[in-house]
Amino acid sequence: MTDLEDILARAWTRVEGCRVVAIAGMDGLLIERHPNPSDEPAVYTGPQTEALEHLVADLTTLFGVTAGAMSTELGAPIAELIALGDNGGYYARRIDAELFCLLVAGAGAELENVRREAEALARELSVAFA
Amino acid sequence: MSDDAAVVDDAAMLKELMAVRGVRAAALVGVDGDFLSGEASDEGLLERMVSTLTSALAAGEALAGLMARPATARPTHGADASADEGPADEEETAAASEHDAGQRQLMVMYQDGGPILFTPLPGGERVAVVALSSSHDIGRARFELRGLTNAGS
Repeated sequence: MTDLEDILARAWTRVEGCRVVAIAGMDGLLIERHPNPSDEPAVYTGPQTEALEHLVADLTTLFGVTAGAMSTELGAPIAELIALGDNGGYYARRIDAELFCLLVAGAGAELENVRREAEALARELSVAFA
Repeated sequence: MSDDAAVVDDAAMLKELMAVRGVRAAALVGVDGDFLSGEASDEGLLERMVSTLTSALAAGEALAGLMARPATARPTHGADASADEGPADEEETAAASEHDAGQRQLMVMYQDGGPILFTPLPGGERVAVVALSSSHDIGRARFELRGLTNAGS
């Protein structure tokens, strides 16, 4: 297991109800995820690779959109994107200009915990890959 | 650096490249496409990869030269450049840029088979080439290769 996988795995265990945690580039490419369906396909319940890659691409677009007038008006870059539905939600946090992390959570996940752990994950990743 | 030291460095670099998840073959080549060393889980794949080196590097350089950027150069002399071409016969060639000047990657995507990624190494003399299992591995490979090549600078 690489450092990156290890960091993601630790974050995943800290967030109850987390289906998958991932790191991706602002160019729209998924870099790494945990868990990985290829590791234990029989027990994996998170989004499949194609679906997650689609999510990452959409989130990249949203980061791009929010980097415009919304960030200008706010006076700082939009750092967090949260999308919630009845069955769970998506949480993405900007790590730096090139990277962001993503947590896909089920309905049972507590948003404040997701936010707190994502912030810690982003900090850990920014230090590890500075 | 002595020749022995260079061989050890090459072997270590190849080992690190092969350790990246999704990498099926790795090679170190000169900027002109001369094969220096390589390693693969499938020797046939390595041979096929090596056979594309010269033309892929030439295509990447030509595409970079077409971009309307103030400075385009050889893969190792790193101004930012990026280009996308539609499928041409069997393959699609794309030169993908890194934000960091001095870093540039070239990617060749085949319709039937995993992509091949070319990443210039520090020093300007060599290029790391990896063949990936599938397009799902591109993001991870690009990220890890950037770390490896930066670490070697």
